[in-house]
Amino acid sequence: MQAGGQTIHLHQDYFALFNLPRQFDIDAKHLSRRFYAIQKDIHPDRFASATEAEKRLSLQYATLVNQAYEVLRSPVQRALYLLHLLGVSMPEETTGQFSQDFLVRQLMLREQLEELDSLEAVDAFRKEVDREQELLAERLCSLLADSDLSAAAECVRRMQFVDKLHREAGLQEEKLLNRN
Amino acid sequence: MALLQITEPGAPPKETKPRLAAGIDLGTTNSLVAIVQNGVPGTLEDAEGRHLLPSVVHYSDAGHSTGHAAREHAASDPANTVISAKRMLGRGLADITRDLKLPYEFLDRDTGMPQLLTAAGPVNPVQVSADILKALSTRAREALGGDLAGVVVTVPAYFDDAQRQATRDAAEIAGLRVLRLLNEPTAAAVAYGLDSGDEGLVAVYDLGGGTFDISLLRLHQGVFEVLATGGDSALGGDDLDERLALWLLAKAGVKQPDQQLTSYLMLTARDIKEQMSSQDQVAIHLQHPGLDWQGHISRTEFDGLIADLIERTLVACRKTLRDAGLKAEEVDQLVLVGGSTRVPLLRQKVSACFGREPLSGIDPDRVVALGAALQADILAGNKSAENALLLDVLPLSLGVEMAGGLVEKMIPRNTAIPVSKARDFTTSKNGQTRMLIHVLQGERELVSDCRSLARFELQGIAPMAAGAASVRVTFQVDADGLLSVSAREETSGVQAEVQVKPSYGLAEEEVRAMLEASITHAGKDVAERRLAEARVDAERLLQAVLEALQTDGKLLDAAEQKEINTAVSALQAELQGTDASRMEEAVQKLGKATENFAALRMNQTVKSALAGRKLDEILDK
Repeated sequence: MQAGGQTIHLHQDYFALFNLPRQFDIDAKHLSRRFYAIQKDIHPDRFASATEAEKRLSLQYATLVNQAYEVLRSPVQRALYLLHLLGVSMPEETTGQFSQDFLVRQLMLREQLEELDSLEAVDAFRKEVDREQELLAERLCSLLADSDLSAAAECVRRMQFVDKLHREAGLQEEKLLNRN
Repeated sequence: MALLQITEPGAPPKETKPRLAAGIDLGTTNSLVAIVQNGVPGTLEDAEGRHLLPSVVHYSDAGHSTGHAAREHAASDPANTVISAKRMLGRGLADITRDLKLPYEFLDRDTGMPQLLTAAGPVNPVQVSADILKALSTRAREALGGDLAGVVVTVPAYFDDAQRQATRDAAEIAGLRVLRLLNEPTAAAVAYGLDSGDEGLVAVYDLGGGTFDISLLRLHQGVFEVLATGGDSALGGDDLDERLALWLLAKAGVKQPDQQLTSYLMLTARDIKEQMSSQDQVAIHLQHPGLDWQGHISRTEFDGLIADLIERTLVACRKTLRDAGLKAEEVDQLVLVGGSTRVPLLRQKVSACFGREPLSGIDPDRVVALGAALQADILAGNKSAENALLLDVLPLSLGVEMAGGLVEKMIPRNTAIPVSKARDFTTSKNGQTRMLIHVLQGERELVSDCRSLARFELQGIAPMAAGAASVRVTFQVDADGLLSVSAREETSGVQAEVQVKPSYGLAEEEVRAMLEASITHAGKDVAERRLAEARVDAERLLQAVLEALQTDGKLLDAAEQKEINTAVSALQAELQGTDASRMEEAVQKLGKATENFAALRMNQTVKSALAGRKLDEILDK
């Protein structure tokens, strides 16, 4: 990161930035506490009366810390980032590599989603999707523990798929809210 | 001016005087200013003991008046009495004339910022806001007995970039240094929660004169983290008045009211609305040239007029809860902001929506200004406030225009700020050497449904086949929620950078010209003013650098230490003189000399934030 010709010495990855072990399973409470601890010291509000250089640096640091927090807080983004650190390149989303079972189930869920016509139904649907995501996350943990990176990559792709469903459930909910 | 005393680097710093700072709630209908004295925030009153300053400016050939004096002209001289200027900030003429019914004449222009034709000449909404801010800052200066080091100005959370930028420009034209633009609901939460040590989820329902905001915040050990914010920037308490005014019009059998009658009815409606908060029925007597009508309105009738408007705010509440992934039952505290939240039906509906009674104890008209004053005090450096921190979010998604009139989102709404996002784009035609970057804000997919913030052009791209160039566009949103955009063609290194000046905003030179005009107008000397400002900047920088050397001088090697000391001495020497440009130059040099020092200190801060005692203490709690 460049700041007025000076390089900020932040070589650490996001996990190191928050002083967390580089692994998928992290303690969400520790993450947010560490996020608050850093922001309390480097947020631009701390530098409102400081020199221009310090203001600029504080803006850059706070931006980086927010970015790191956003990535680590989301299971899917965290998984993708971790794979990236492990040197696994993720191809664009494709459907080819998924098993028949998974695809059929996803199609079914998608059809269900389009027919949801009450906020309660969207809620129930989202709970189901979230449960599915939790199962995938557990599976990812054990695959990473076994260093089975190619299976881990496929698991993360499934997580992306499920995450997309979760977001689409949100859009469906917004549609229902707008209708009311 | 007294000469600044300089402590020897390494010597203990002298006790510094508190820096004078104020919080300003620049409202659609009323504005307030508050300061912190002996640790307690309070709003300031005028000579007549009134805290609220009506956000009204009356222009005449003799000059202008603000507040109550100006409002007296609202009915008799509506064309020259600017009310609700906030609703016009950052908007184009087409937006304004489409959405608002205003009794003003506008300069006939297609583009740029709207200009109102008044007896004092053309005036734009930023100028009107600056005049209101000036009246308030004068009040604060008199109360504090000195010049203000800085102010915190509040804005609706739902304000877009153009509206925020316009607010900042207004403060600058008023000669104020803005420490931070603070979102109104966040300010209200600060006023309620900063010293109480409360934990949990807070919903702030803020119905201002012209805007509605709903914000959800999590309070945790002094951190105010905004989880989601939403609302409607074209719905406010004024709309309740308008409904009532239309009802009066129909009841009194008036077919085509002129501007004066409309203004009279709006003022009467506001008065009736206020009475309805404590009465079940209000007697009305309309008296205006050619009109004499008596009647009354019951609570039920009034509720019927406004119920759908309240429902609209509740829909926004539900959407925002959804954005945050929360349920209404999870909300621990409900804070109501704005005079219109005294309306009984509104309190009842909002309480029912969140399943709890709102907090009371702070006047809903003043709570925002009080929170702003607390934050201004912290930002000015008076309160160490070890534990207080506000983390806010971007209220509306930011994006760029793609082929086919579609918007590609770059940063989604409710992302924590400050934030920076980059995305790569490419050319669509063979040999294309220029690229137009159109920056938009809003949630819809079509360009025509979003707010256009700015357009700029990246030129000089080397001719290549379509799709071969790679242009990296970077959006940076700072802690004020203001956007800057840069674009860079990766193969040729061609770079373009813009501070996003909204399509309906002022250019930097215009802001400077307006500031100078206002100084001259006040009978002051522009050069004198520049020197005073250069001095303030120089003193501020010196103090910051000396304090930094005091605590972290050990991080520097001898050569850097010497370079900084030389620059410090040079600036100290210039401070004795009266040459503004030499002073500014010395400030620049010292700023440059301390850049690396700043980086070293920041790295140390991050390290110590995580390592050692500090974190353990936090984790142990």
